[in-house]
Amino acid sequence: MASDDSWTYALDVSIAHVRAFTSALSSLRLARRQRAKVRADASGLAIATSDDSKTCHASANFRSETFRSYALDETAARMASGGGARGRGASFEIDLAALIDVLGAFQGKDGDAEARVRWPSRSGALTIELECARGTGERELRQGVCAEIMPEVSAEGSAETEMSFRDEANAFMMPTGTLKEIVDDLEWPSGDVDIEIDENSLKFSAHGAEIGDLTVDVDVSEGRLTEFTCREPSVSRYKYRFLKSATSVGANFLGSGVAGGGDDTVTMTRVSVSSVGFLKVVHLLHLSRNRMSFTSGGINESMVPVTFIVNPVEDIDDDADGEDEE
Amino acid sequence: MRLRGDLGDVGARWLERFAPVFERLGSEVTVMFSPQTIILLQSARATGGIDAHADLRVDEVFERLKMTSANDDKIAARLEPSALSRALRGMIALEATRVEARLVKRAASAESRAMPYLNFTAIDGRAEVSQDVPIVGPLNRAEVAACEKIVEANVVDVPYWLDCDRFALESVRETVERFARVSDFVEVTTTRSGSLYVTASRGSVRMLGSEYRGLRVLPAEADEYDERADDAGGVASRLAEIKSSGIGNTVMLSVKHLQRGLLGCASNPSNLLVGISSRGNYFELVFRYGAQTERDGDSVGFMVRIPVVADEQPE
Repeated sequence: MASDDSWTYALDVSIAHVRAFTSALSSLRLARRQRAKVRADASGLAIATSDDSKTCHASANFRSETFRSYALDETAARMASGGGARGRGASFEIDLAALIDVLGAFQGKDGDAEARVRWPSRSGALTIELECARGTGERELRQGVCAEIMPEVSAEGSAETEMSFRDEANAFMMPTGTLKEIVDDLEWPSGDVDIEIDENSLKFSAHGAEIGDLTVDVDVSEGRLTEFTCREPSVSRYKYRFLKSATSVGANFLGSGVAGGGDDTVTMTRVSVSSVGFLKVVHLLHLSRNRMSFTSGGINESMVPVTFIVNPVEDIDDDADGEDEE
Repeated sequence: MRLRGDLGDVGARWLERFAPVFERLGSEVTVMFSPQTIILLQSARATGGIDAHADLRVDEVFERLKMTSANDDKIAARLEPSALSRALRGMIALEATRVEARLVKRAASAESRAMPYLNFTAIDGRAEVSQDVPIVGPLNRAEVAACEKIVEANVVDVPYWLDCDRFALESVRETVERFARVSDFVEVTTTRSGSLYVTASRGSVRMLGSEYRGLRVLPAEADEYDERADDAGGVASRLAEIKSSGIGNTVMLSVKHLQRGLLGCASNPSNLLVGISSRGNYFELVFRYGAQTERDGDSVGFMVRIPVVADEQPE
């Protein structure tokens, strides 16, 4: 087996925090069997998913600075992606559940580990590798883990459903943990969730036909929320399960939540509603708990935005019995 | 048929190390006493596929042991590991100066039949606390011979072993746990130069592999470790090289069997030897307790024998 010297990978990156990376990927899972589209270009890696109905989309954007090392070879990328003139960079689809399970094998005992990810190998696979040594006595014990995942074949003629969100009307920002708690509480009525925004109020409510109603009223008075903007009062409705997926972030990201500790210890989420009711939820996750590494630009090097776009449920009707269409 | 012995505190703790492992492996364990050894044994039938036994020298466990039987002074009985564990924990908790173990026969009431028990009694000055562990037995000569056959089949047919220290064995156990999420079967490869590979695959995961290099090989004559060996190229290519050149040994195992065999890690071993039988039909584990024993390194051991799955891997 020849060494890899003669083979050029299109994508060659080193992940510094495998556990956090895997946790961020897990938040993109919208269904048990989930296909993810991976796109890499010079600025970084974007991994996107959508559910079968195409009414909920998620993506995580890993800028090149969030990796320990990042390299993209344009020529190899063009060849690997089928030589299509569709644009720069590399793209392929992968079974997200398989990737998450495999990355689980790379996590060290005390939590974190590094891994080298490359694509494509000679057989077209995504390869993940980790090697470390522990010297004890005259013979060094060396451990290594490796994995090869074959990308999914793109279904013929599948339309590119890009995530798009335009004409932001209203927006607010709150700690990710707080938003998650609100949505978790709204599970009880078993119905779709309405988000109602006007100049002085932000309300989440759910109505369950045989169960009851629950409303969460958020205090939006001066200084309570980091951001609150209302350009046009809105009421929009979303399927509970999409809202739940859009707000379920791994516990390791939710931070210590020190009261009044300031925004840099708590993970924040920005929510916006478009003029036609589309919902955009952006979680600002940090791959590393180490806050010391601030670049001069002020943006934390390890920040990864994870974005969800949820279509509104059509026909908000007070007489609707809130049944989920399947 | 008589059995009566004084268990030291250390002895009770040794037995208590293994009882929970047997409890997780199966609901019944066979205990065999002879004047030299105590063996706790679970056959493949009891564990769901693997043979496991703990082998303890009598003088590690008992300060004094008197036993006689018509069967070459061997006595064997079956009991529930959970009941044994409870009794031993109770004795340990009492911190008594002396714990006596005896085979007894008792009747619950005047009308009922006398049933056999393994009795543990903690004697401490004026107080005595007694616990009975119900047993099935003593087993007859044929049953004892059958147990001995299982014990003797272990460990004899392995040309070389790889020696995993505490860190390596814990890492192997964790690796198997994680691989279990990916696949129902794993391949294990060993080489005489001290490398161990565990690999799994399923569906789009074409390969998931874990490599350990630099393990000591036993016996020393079988060790072919070469520190100048060229090892560039990565885990996958090294394994492919080993398989294509035929220099290692590879077997396929059920991941559940391997997980269960590795439950032995809970007995706090000093190290773990792994090896493939010469005919390639078994994968054997030997857990050793090295410096933890009073007499010598091998007075306590825990052995597991895992059958190799036939070549056809179900998809």
